[in-house]
Amino acid sequence: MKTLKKIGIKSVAVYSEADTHSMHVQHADEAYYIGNSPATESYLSIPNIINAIRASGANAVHPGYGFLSENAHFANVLKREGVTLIGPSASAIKKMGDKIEAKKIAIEAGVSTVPGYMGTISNIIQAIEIAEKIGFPVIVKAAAGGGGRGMRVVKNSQEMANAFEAAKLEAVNNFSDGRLFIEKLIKSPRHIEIQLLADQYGNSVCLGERECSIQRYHQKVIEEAPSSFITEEIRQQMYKETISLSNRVGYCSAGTVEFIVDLDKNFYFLEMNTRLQVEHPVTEMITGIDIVEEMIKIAAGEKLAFSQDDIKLKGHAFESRICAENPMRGFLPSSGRITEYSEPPKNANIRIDTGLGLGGEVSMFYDSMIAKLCTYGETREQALEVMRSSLSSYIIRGISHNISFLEALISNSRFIAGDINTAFIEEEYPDGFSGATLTSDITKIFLATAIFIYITEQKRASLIAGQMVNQVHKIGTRWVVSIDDNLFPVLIKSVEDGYNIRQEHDRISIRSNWNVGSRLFSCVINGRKANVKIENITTGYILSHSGISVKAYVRSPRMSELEAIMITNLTCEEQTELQAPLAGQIIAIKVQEGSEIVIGQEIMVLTAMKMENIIIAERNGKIAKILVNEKDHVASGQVLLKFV
Amino acid sequence: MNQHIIHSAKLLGEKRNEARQGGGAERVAIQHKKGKLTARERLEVLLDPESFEETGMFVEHRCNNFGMGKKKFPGDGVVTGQGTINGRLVFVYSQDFTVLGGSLGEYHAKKICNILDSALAVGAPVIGINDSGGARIQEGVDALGGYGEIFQRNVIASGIIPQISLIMGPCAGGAVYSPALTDFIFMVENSAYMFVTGPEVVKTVTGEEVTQENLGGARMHTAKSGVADLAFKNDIEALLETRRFFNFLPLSNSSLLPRRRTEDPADRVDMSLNTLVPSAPNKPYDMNELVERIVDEGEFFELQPDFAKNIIIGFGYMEGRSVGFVANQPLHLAGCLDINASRKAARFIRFCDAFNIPLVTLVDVPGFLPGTDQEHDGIIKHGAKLLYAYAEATVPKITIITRKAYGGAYIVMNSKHLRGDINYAWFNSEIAVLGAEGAAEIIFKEECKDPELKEQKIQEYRNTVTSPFVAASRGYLDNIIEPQNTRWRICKALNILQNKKVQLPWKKHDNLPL
Repeated sequence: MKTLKKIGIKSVAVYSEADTHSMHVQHADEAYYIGNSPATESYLSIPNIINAIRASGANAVHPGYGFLSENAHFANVLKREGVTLIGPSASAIKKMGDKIEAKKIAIEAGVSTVPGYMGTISNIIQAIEIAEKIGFPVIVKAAAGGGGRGMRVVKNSQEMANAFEAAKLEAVNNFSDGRLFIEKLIKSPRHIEIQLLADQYGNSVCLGERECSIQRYHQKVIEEAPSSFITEEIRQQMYKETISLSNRVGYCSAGTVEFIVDLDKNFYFLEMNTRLQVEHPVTEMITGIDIVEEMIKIAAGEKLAFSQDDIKLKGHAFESRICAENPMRGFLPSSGRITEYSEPPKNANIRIDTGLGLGGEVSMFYDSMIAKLCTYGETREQALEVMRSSLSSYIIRGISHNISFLEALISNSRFIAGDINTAFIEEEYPDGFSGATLTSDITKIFLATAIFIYITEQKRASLIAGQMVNQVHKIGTRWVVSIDDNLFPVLIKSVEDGYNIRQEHDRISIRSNWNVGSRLFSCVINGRKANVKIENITTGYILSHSGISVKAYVRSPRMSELEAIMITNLTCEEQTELQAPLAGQIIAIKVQEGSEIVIGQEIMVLTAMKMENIIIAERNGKIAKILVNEKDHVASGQVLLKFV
Repeated sequence: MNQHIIHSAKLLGEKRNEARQGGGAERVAIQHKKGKLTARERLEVLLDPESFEETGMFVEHRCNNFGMGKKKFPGDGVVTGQGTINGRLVFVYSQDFTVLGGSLGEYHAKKICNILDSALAVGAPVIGINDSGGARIQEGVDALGGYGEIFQRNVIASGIIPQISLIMGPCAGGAVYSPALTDFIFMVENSAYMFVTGPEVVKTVTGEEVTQENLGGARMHTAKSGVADLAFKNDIEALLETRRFFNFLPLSNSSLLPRRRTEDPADRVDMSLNTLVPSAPNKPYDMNELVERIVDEGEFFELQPDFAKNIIIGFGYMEGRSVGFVANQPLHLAGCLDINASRKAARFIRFCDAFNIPLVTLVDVPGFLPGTDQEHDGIIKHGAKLLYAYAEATVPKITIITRKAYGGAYIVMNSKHLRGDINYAWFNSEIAVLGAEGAAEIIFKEECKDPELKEQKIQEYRNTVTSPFVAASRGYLDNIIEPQNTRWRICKALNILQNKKVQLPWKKHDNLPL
């Protein structure tokens, strides 16, 4: 829409119930309601969208990057309506949409694909023959397989017999289909893709590559352009094959050809995306070309205004996908209201695309992405530094999000060195994410921050009106800071704009113009800038920096001594059952028997007095038995479920 | 002569030292083992360092029954005096469980009475730390009389100086009534118990088996009975939070409201509030979010968060001045008023009114909670308490209706009719005897059989009756506002009402529907 405004075209948005307050609705010149919150009743409903198109009299449709963007049927319907689809032809969408056909076309176009045998293999001898032809190691895979079952890695011909039998047995047991095929094993593969622009006159150019190797369950997390791995020579070869494939299917519009690249920089065709990609801004940043604008021009029948020689890749760009999910709880999606939203200070090297903002509602109906944060720098290091500082000052509250995880990723030494592949996240966080490691440098940042905010608050509290006369309430110089239960005695000296802190042999100077209540603490610690995020908890703070969160408390030495007397982890008697808070009808049950619940989780929805009441878990635990069904009328105090 | 001075100085040192020992090292160790601080340690955490001025350090009991004459401890089991919290004067007493189990005898009680008398004379709050086995049985009626003297003083001081009770150990039998007469009760989980009769007596009399925690623990009193305002994990947490709480209270009913510097702009516009109320009228939302978005720096000190969750009460600062908030909570019981919510809010309103703390009321109320248990338990009298409290309050009273105010609950929630000073409504709110749908179903019984016609009639009722513009046209609302402007509107209203003075006609005292 920003692009449309730039080139002077009026925009029309469509929205569902859940998106009534979304930013795209506010920014568009006109907006049309297309149905209920579930996507099948709105964004995936072709009739509803066509109605909106008719009502608005729109000339063209940009399908974005989800929902109907790769739907050939939608493309055909639009054609019948005489409305231009800002995207490729229906036939190209269809051809590239079918994985097997796409691979066949790619082979015909001379594009390298993963070596393997597409037919089924009947016996071990044949399997060894094929494996030797494509070269060990190979993977034996079940044709109907998935989820790693019926799959065996084979390093040499001796291992084949066992692996073959085992895979076959698993395939039969799991999928009742014993057909197997063989593919070359690509070790530590990277995901690198080429951005293509092709017009209706057979001109096409490639806009460099993007590396999207940082993935979690095939969802891209961080992308960058260019890749730190491939050489100019490889790039040119990838360009050549991309254009060859594009020509083969008569492609026109923007598209992306995805490759996997092995350790020896051999690359193999994966698939082609016949739409705009989420991560397109990184390409725009290093080429200076507005891809959406080019898509519109191409759809309008214009010729590409530049040739391959005009495309110069300049600098480096990163994109982080900020999603509503809880990295500390297995990336469970999170929904709810964004109660606080503050973006990092903008400059020419930062681009943030978001559909939600302050007061926005993250709905459970759609993708969990809240925003894309893209940063640019002349070098990879500079772009990364901009990303680091942007993430550290990005404040989102009200829902869980993955910013701390993104901060941990970009601080990972392997990531910094560019040593990444598509299994990077599983390799680095095999047991899930529980925060980055606390180093002594970061401990110092937390320690100094805690002192600064605590003393600032104390100083202010000692100025509350009603002070006893002739008695100055002094604030001490010796304190004990507790960082995740480790105690650090400090001696502080108040100076202008901050404190000089001595902790054993370390000296820390901290300066800041922080105001009480601000969630973002920007400071200079020993001459270096740092941002720390603050959450208040009872008598202390949760401080977050660089993917790590700690609990911090500041106490006087005496208080700290007394606090050691306190007994922790006293168990309280927990409720064993959940009762209805008032009489009404149960309209939704959001848990199952056996599910683990946590405090604050929604358990049931009950309506009474024409109002919905959400019944929220007040303890952690496991549900033993649910005693009511949806639509049941319950009395006040009736037992709804029992805990284990 | 010189000898005498040296001797006296030495004696003073010895006596002081003896008093500071409390019940001796052994008893202190037992107290610590239970995760409890001693009476003096608690005051060290509660008060500013070196601010404590002890009084009555050498007081001893004069009971000689049952060998008590040999068991004398300077201070008689309670540490009393004055100190400051963030530089502001406070009177304190702290019962010492290590001395005769913190039991209350004649002189122990006298020391507490002295503190209450002085605090009342000076006009400063009293914080009492309770950790006592109860009446000192050896002293008999002298101990009982001691309680009575304390109760009488609690009542005299009520409404003149704030009184806070921290329960940090047992508090049983008659002892419970002193905290009950004070303004706020904070308890420590797993170590504080309050009950009129303990588990053993309960078992003998009724045969019920119940643990101390379930009969009178912090969780029970903060969630079920509503006797206590807050529960804390341990002594340190309770004492530090009491310090923070103290920042919101004036020292007495004749002293100025606490003011605190803030960098949070009074004219802060908050766009997120425009989407706080869901578009579907039957969907709940969290009223706490609104309170936190409008107070200075998002710091809201909520009281009784686990009791009658359908109403929110607590303190916040607005443009640097302390304000009391009362708000319906649509997340619980749809924000209905019931017996517990009425009692909880009424007492809070009366505290604020007594101490000149302005009241901000945030309204989203569908009505009183229907049901036999409510009626049988006397919702009429209890609901009247809330109505009474609002009607009698003369502090600045500001009301914001965020979504709906129906029926009797509309009147009760600080409406213009109860002398609300400044009453605003968000522009999409509804005010009526009942919701538009329900009303249409009654007035247009026939028409409502046709769904399309019903929708039309609902709309008609909405436009002619429930729209806030109707209430505004009668002057029942002073303005209809955009949600985003709520903070600065309240700040401005508070400034306008700063010097409000209303005199009620003379009476001996009122007759609150108890």
